[in-house]
Amino acid sequence: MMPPERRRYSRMLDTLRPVTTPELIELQLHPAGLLVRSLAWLIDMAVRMGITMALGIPLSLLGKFGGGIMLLVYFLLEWFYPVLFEVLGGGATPGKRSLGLKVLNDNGTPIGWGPSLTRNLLRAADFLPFAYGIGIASMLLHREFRRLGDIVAGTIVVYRDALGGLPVIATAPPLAPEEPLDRMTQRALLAFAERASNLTPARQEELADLVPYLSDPQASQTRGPRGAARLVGLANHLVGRQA
Amino acid sequence: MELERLSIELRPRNAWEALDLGVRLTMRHARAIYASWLAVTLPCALLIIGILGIAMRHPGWAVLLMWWLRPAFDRIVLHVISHAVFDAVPSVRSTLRALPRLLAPRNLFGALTWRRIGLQRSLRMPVEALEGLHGAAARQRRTLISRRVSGAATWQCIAWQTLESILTLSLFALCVLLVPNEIMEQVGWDTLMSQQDNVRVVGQLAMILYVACHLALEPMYVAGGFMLYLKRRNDLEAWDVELQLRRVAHSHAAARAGAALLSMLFAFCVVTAAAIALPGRATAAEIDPPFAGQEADASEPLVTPGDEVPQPAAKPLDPAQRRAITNAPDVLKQIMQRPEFGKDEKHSVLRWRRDDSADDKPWNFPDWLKDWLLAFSKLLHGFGKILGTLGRVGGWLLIACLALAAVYVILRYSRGWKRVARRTAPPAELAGFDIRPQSLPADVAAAARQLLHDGRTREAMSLLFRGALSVLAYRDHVPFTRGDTEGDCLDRVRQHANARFVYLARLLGKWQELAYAHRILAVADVETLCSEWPRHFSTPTEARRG
Repeated sequence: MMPPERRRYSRMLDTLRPVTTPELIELQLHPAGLLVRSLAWLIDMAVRMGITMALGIPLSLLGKFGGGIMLLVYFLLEWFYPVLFEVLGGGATPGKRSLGLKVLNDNGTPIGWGPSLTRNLLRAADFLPFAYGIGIASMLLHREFRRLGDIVAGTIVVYRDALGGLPVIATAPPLAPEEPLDRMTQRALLAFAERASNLTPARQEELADLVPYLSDPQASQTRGPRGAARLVGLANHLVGRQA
Repeated sequence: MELERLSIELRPRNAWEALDLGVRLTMRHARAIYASWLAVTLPCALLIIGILGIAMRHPGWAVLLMWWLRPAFDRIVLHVISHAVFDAVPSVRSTLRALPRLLAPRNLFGALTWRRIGLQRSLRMPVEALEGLHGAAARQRRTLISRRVSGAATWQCIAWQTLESILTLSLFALCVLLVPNEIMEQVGWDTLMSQQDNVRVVGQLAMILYVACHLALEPMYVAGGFMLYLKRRNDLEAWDVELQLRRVAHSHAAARAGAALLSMLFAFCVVTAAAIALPGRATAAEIDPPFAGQEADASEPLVTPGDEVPQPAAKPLDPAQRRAITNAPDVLKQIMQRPEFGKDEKHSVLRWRRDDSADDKPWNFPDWLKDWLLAFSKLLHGFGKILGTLGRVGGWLLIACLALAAVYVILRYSRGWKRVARRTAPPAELAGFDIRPQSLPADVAAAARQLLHDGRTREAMSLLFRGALSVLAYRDHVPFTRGDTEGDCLDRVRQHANARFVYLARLLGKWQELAYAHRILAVADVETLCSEWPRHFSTPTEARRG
């Protein structure tokens, strides 16, 4: 039987997709949903229209030959614009790149020609009955927001950097804890120190008061700061900063 | 508010992820949300569509009215969702019972009038409906909540609105696709749309589809706004950190309690009185909740109306600070009157200015430029024709090349090509045997028989097998490669020299029995193999002689 802690976690709602590497390291992919992807699609649409117009005006001067070339351009843009960018451009069309998205295989590896062609050729199926009706429904219903093309090709659209950079811990003189801290406590301290700079001072103290034995150890005769500042100091010690 | 009962994972997420989570939340609690939502909206929608849209023939007004009433209906979704995130999904009945409070005019008046047009409605609604603030405090709170997520909130409003229209279009196309082709051929779109009645029917169909899409998508929009709101509050108040710290404190207290119990037992056994005074740290389990002012009321889990927005209580001020605060406006005024703040400065800037004195005659293409452009385009046109011819020739050439390539590929991979394939020299050693012809005695069978008579059955069998492989490799050119096992060799023989296969299989079977299974072979069996060997593997010259 699972301990209550674990059971609670398993029903916690989130959008992540865990992927386990052969080395048994668990990675979290952050699947991207319908809204942000529709915006990326709009940007790509604008780019494609721009290319079409930039080529169409000079080509229209070339008569039927220009028309022929233009048809080829339409064809290539329709079917290969996403494929080329996804395979050669790090998994992202310009629209996806500008919104911080990219396409991966669902095991977290970079996407190759086969899956990319599959997912983009199947746009035709997602487009049915008109204007991506099926694709929209599929993305809303699927727990990882995949459209039919994604499901068939085994691909997934994820946020490249869901949190926008690494967390920063405010620098403070490091403080060594009086007793060794277990991993849960270490994590909690680091989380507190990462977020503290965005909280009001009063809220920081309120949080620090939850763990008085860490933030305000009166029993032992310790010196140094108290409260939130003390927790940040402990976190600085944990990440290995030197005094 | 009991954070422990939250059923969504609290973690820092970006605004888009919060919107995605809203979709997932709607899907997880789809039954409860849509049951409550449709219980109220479906009758209203049917009434509006039926009376205004169909009976009074104003489908446009019906859609507009449905659109205008959205904030009222959205309160229902918000009610269900805000309970569902705390794992207390309300039943349809309890939602209906809460309806008079949810739709009370004093709560809805602003939302349905001057605040109706606003792209961040989904984000503001939780602030209005759940925090129950009024006046300046509400305004300030709304600004604070929508900071940093206003872009996502705006886009989600536009996007869901657009998605509703797109899905309507898609469903409409589906309806058109489902009309049998024969009918469309007989009647035709033009005649269909030329009759006033048909146009009206199509308009009403579009209205019904649009309202259906709206009913299907709106809960996700509300949930998205609510998730944005929760994201902002989590950013501002670090609920996830609070939960972690609570957990840490809890386990610490439990550990202390356990330690205290052990020490008490120890003390009871050894000393008797004094040592019981261990620090009473077990009380750490009862830490005050951070929002002491808030009710932990399950019926309204987020924030009850009139409740303080969770801003931690300020500490009492000493008289000096209070005096400083009361004097602040005067001091500020004095500072603002200093020359640094009150001085006018003149800067001269050079800027292009439109010269109005010039005549306003519209500028025309000069004729020479027109002629030149015409000539140029004619030239380009001619050039295009030449390119077209070239392209056509090139295209045919390309097709020819492709055809040749296809023929090449077919030949290359068909059996016919293999006969032509270059023969590679056979390996010197195969499956652990030296198979070079010069390493073998002249008459393999006789030598093997001699060995057999000497009682060296193993050597005899080995020689027979080795000889067979050697002949197959060097005379019959069976394409063995280094690294082939005995089984691989047999496979290759079956493909390339089928006549020898049966004998070789028998020989190999006996050899494996002897070499690997360590069975003793009957001398007669080996004798038979020896006598049959020359029939299969004697060299061509010998064969011709015999």
